[in-house]
Amino acid sequence: MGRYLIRRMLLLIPVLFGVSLLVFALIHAIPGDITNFVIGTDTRISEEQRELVKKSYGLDQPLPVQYAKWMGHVLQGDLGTSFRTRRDIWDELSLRLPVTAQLAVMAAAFAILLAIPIGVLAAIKRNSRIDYAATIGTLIGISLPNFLLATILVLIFSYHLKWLPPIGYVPFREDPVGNLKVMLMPSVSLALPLTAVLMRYTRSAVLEALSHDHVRVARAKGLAGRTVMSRHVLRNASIPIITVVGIQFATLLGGTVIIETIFGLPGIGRYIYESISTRDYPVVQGVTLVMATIFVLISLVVDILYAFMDPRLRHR
Amino acid sequence: MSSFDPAGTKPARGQDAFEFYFRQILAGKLTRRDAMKRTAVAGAAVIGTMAAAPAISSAWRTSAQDATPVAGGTFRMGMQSDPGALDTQLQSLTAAWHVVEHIYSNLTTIMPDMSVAPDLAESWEISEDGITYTFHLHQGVLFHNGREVTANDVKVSLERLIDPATASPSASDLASVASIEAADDYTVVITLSAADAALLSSLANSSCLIFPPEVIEEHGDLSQVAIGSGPFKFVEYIPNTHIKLERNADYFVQPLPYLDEVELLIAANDTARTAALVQGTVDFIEYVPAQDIETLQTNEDIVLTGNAISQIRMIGINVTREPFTDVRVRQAISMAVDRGPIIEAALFGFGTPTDVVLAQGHWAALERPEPPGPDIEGAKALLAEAGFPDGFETTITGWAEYGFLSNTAIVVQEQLKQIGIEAEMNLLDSGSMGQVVYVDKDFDLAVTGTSGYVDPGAVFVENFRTGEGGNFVGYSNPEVDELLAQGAASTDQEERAAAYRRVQEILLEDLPWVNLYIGQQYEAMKTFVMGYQHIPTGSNRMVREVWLNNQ
Repeated sequence: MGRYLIRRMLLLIPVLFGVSLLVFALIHAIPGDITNFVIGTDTRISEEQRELVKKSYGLDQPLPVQYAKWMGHVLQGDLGTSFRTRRDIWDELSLRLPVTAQLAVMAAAFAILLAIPIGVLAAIKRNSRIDYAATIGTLIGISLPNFLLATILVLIFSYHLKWLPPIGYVPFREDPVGNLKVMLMPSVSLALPLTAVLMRYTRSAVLEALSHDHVRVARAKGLAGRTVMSRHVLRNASIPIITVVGIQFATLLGGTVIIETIFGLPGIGRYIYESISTRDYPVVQGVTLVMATIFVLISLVVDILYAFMDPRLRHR
Repeated sequence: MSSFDPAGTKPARGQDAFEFYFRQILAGKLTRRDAMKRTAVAGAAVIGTMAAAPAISSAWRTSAQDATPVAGGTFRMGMQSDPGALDTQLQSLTAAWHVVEHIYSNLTTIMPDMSVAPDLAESWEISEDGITYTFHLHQGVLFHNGREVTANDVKVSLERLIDPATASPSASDLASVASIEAADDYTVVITLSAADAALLSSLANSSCLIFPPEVIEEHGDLSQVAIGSGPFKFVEYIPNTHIKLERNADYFVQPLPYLDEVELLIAANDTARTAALVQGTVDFIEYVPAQDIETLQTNEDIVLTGNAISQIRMIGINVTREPFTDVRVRQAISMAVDRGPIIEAALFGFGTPTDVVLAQGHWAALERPEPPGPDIEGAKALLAEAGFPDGFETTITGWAEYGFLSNTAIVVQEQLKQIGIEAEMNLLDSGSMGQVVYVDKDFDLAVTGTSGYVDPGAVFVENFRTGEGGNFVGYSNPEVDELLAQGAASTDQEERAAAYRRVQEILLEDLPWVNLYIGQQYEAMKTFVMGYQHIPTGSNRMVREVWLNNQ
């Protein structure tokens, strides 16, 4: 186990190096740079002044030099400052990570609390009305984009009922009630696709487990239905479910880009979205690197959980 | 203002039109069939009549304005975008301007009727030759740090803008300035290298804010601090969340301001911004989304104010490229365009069709009848004459992130098909658009717009003078250059107007731009918000006169 962990951690290095190269290349390949943004289309600007502005951001240097300089700072733990806001990127991340983390955790909690019981129920009562209703629900959940659900929620709960504010983020420690009010609609919107996928996986995982011989044996030897369910069915079904949660967590983080923009939340998704559209290179590169690290670590955690759930893997 | 922020709406891609119709269905205003029909209209060719842009009544407000203002309260404003940073000398952005305009004073300011008025400068004299401007400052004005504003602060603030070391993207605001001197503590003398009639209005730009130089020494720049001498003091800025301001009790225009606090909340999404106003999270929103104007007008708790803005939307034609070098081709395009359906699709009818750059009623506008409808046969004949009886293939480059501009481009594409011009659509994100069209000038037809202006000289020089950086269509006409020089050199408004009217006539013949429409911009607020006035530049500076009638 220890050796396995160390090997996985070492694998992080080439992965992250690749990510850094890729994101650097991609963001520099899109036309335009920060100077287009700070200049706007103030088109009276002279060529010399434009060059001056470019130079002030260090963009006059060749790309390999820019990459080497950036990497040099990153290796010392310095992500640099944003072109756009001129704030330190770590400072900004420390403000924003908790927001996105809260959003993702709340969304994942909603999804798990809703999807797993319904999925199990749908599997047990296969081909019943509950099963059909769950299937239709899943279909809607998968096909309805979450920005649309967000808009529907805003129209119903802010515009018509006036219950929940559509914007106006406050940190939890300053105003817990206000915070939950603001975070409710975003996390529900974000939870939607995950709920749908999870429900589907839970149903098929439970169905698969139910069909196993040992379940039939357990029943045959007269174990109570509840014991069969928890000891033999759910335990086996949980492995694919955990995998799905782990993989979908990345999709969840991707979804925060749109959801945070709609609800005016100061999270990572919004930060990276604004930075891409303004070609704020240090932020795009730095934040992608941090997010990639987080993602790789999450999949590592999922793999470890796996091992705990599945004795076959534990002994390897 | 110099940054391009076309009506300031930046919806997440692909959701705006759909969202609108969905909402109408919810409100019971449209049946599903109507919705399908209208979606088709927004997305494809449109043949229809122009809906007259409804005027917004402000009659009820005039009576309310007579009441005596009550001081106090917190005013919460729903803002369209996050400024990121607040140093308007380093970034030319509307969002930052909409924050700093409450905190800083300039030498001059722009009034709701678009005239230039004194701000920090109490009065000024201009020499006969229009080269020397002498400004007399108000005495006893205090910065928020308690120090008095002196002529030297003005000199340092403005010099920072033009100093090459600052590398300011807005340095051209003061391009005509040769020197800035403090004659004594309250007198500033600005000497120009050539007469520049636009100087007084340029000084009102957010790039020409006056700050205490010691702030730069302490913080390096003004990105995350703001100390001015304006009506409100900066309290805090939490990125993507809010900006808090508090009353400056020492503001030199007493008894202003009335409000104790101003909170600017960022509500980038159109639906969320409108909903925040209706729900009560904010008392005011800027950039009312065009699709919400009608619904908000019927809401009894809400009042709208606004009108046309000084920003034109047009088809810019790359006149250096075949076949657009032939004026007959450009004329054909102009004749094929039908502005009514374009405005309907882009702005739900809230726009004014025009074929000249300046809005009717502007002091330098060329008087024009409403633009005529399309003349397809005439356009085809012209194309045939130019050697393209069957039309040709080309591209339209446009803004993907501004729904109204991409809709404009789509309708133009359909309308051009009618005369055989098959245009491939090339919609770009804002960063790419700036590079491809405005820097590389690599396009055939560009559906785009101008930023707002106060002095008309700026918009003509920038866009049409030979070799000018902003002349992205590559237009050149010596007669226009000559007229523009005349317009800039004279301080006599009538003389200037005559020059600019002639320029507009020539542009109508040469057609480097096929002008389409002038947009409208509205602010919406709760009925208890008193004293607010819309300024056509898009500025919200009248917040200093706002008071709340609900206390």
